[in-house]
Amino acid sequence: MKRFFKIISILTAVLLVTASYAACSSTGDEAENGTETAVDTPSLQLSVDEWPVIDGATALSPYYEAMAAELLGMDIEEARQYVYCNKTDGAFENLINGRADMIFCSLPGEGQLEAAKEAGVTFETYPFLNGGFVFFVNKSNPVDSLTIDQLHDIYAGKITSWKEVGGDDVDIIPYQRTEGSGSQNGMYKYIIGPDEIMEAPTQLIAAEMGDIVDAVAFYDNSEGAIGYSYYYYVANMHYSDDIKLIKIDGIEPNDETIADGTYPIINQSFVIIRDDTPKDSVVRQIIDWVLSEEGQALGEKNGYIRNKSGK
Amino acid sequence: MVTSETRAVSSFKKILSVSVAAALIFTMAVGLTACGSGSVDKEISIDIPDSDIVGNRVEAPVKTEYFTDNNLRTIEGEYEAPSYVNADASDLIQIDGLKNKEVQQTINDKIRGTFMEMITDTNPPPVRGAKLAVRDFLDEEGNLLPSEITVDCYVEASFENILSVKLWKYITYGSYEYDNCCWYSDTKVLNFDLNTGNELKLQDLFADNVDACKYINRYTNKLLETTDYESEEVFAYTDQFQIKLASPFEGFSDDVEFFVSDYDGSVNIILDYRTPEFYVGDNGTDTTWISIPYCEEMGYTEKFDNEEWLFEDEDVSYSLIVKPVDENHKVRMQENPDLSDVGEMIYYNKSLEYYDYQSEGFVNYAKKLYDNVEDVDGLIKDVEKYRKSYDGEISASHYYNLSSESVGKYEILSVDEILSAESIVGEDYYPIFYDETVQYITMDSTKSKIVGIDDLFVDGIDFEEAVLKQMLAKKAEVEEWTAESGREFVWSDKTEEYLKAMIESINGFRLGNRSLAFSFKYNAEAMAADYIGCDADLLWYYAYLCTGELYYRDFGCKSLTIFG
Repeated sequence: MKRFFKIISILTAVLLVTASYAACSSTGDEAENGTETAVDTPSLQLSVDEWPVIDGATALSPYYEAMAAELLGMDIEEARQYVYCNKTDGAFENLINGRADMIFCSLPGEGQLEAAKEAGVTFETYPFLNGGFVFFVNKSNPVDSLTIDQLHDIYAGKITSWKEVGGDDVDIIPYQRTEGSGSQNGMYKYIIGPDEIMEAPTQLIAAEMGDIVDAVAFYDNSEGAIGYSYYYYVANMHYSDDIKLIKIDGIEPNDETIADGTYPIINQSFVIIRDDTPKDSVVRQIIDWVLSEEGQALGEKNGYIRNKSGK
Repeated sequence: MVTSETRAVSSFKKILSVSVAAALIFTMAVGLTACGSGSVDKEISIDIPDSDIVGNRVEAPVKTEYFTDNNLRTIEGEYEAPSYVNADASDLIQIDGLKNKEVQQTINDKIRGTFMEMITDTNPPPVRGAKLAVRDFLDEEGNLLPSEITVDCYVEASFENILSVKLWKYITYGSYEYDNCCWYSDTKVLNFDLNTGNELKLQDLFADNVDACKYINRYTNKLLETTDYESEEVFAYTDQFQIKLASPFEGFSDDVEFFVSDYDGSVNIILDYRTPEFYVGDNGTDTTWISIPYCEEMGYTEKFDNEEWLFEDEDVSYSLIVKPVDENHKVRMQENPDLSDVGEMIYYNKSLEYYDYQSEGFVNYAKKLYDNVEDVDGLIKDVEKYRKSYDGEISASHYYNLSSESVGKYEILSVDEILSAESIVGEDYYPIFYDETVQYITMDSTKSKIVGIDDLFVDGIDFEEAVLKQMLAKKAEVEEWTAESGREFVWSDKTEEYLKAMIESINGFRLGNRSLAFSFKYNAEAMAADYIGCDADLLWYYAYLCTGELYYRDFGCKSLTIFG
């Protein structure tokens, strides 16, 4: 009896996939023409049996968990059980060794590319959401905009007073993030390398065996402070209302400038698969859906910024 | 009472206990920022109709100097379990000692029902990726059978006429032997009003003019604002256990899972699959909690108070309210100079930690000690002296660390000092001297006055006799331990003489929530060697008689002024 139900469910799934694949293509066209209509049922629907193994970064988990709920037709509490979230490193490891079919992450770093090369794996990457690397200061700071060069010099210890960049005669306190954190890696990538960056302000914290050690001090929003993070966190999470985002080269970081790519420091999120993924794989159908109007709208609904730049 | 501290753990659970310990460290280290001094926000108030109020009507602020403990006992419950249950590590607890047997039965039935549900449910908890992971462990007919289930019960709180029980489940699929398995943990908590046996909701723990949900949400938001919680960045204290925010925190709902801890009176909000915005552990599938420190907005001390004593055992005992570690209010001073030009193995470190909410008198006293300790020049002079008298290279160190804590209205300073020196010739080390001392200094914050040991006991109580009685009461414990390791603990008149000499050398005490510990002018092991002259490997056991915890309830709480 169980086998009978299994056969029926597989047949149903095949029918659904065939129908939804056709629907997916047409949705993409409609989006381009700006003629999409709001629908409750997503254009792609999948069964549990055909669902691939998906993994990814923590920061993107709200997206791919919501996506699983949409495409599997489940509530999110149920759907969450059908996706892994092993963080960036774990997700790449799983993709490389075949334990994951697709991952939602930032682009691979050197270590991950090296591991892929050793395993004979090549990645295909699809940018699907935009993000921004942003700097913030105390709201009372009169400085509104900085250039990337000025930021570089602030963090190199060459510019030490806000007066040098059009502000008050107040010492700049350039806060940093903990080594190995996403934001600190972003700093090295976009502004200044680890060899050039000045020593971070530190604070004494308790360590093991009753010792007290220096640790990277947490941004305190004092008069001269400057800190950095990713736009998603600042916009959606628990940063104080008393901070102000700094324009870079005169361009304010906001949903629009990040979506269209005019904000100078854009970091994108990607769907990444192995390039040997079959052309007719359900994984590729999911990528099409993610890049479609429906997939992009789902991103916005979850606090992310769509990729309007097409790059 | 059965507590998490006293239960033996299987090797499997030890793996998890690392996580639990880390969670505790996390909550102590970083989780206690917002309302360490009492309250998050006085504006969080509501009006609840009388008909919805549980227990006595209570309005904040609720002033409590110490907690009243319950006299409940726990006994092991019997149950029948499926074959995959690890019965050796799965203990069902049942309570005993309530006068009202009907209420007791109601509570026991609920604990048993939850326990049985947990040991018979073979599905993984609904955590991230669980249904993908267990696909590998379905049998040919598509059934999912675990290789092992363990469920254990812990009493987290048994005081103030409330009881909090936490049930912790580990479910394993596949085999560790073949490195082909996955496992999950799941937690359920039960909180009871011991007057009625009714289960408590979060609001029931708070005063009736305080919105509990808003209170914990505001606390958590403040915690997040002051913590480096970003995704991909470690939010917790150790590598074994990480907590991150996977998506914006929009607030707990009023049906959030929680338990109360009678260690410090905190209300602890469970973070697991029911709060997916918190990514807990390496794979986002673990469980931890946020501790909301005890505060004047919590009304449970008065809410469930009853003129009638609910327990068969009439002895009343109390516990002091421990103020949690509050990193955001901690002030640190340290002198740790680089002495490499004096010698590669010369170390000097002095440090002081206190909290900015501690009394001025206490802080000034601590700073004075810090300033007056021998400075680094003293150590350098000593090293020069040793170089003249000893061959080889000199290694020397001076550590002087002052740490602070608050318990009830008392402020306690722990002074740890180690002075050591040795000469090194080739690969041989020759000790010059080693001296390690610990001294506790306790101050009454309301009087800015150091509390002496005599002040601890009410008039008419001979403290030396009371302390000796407590030390002697540990005889059986020590005899059992030594017998287990095949040694004989010799008890003679000299032992008692030794204990009396140690009591005379008491120079301070440290208050805990349910017990106190003494500091002594003399080293307990060295004194044991002098008085008793036993084998060196037995000295620790003699020292334990003096240095272990001495419980208030054993002294009799009425004998102690701290509960006056």
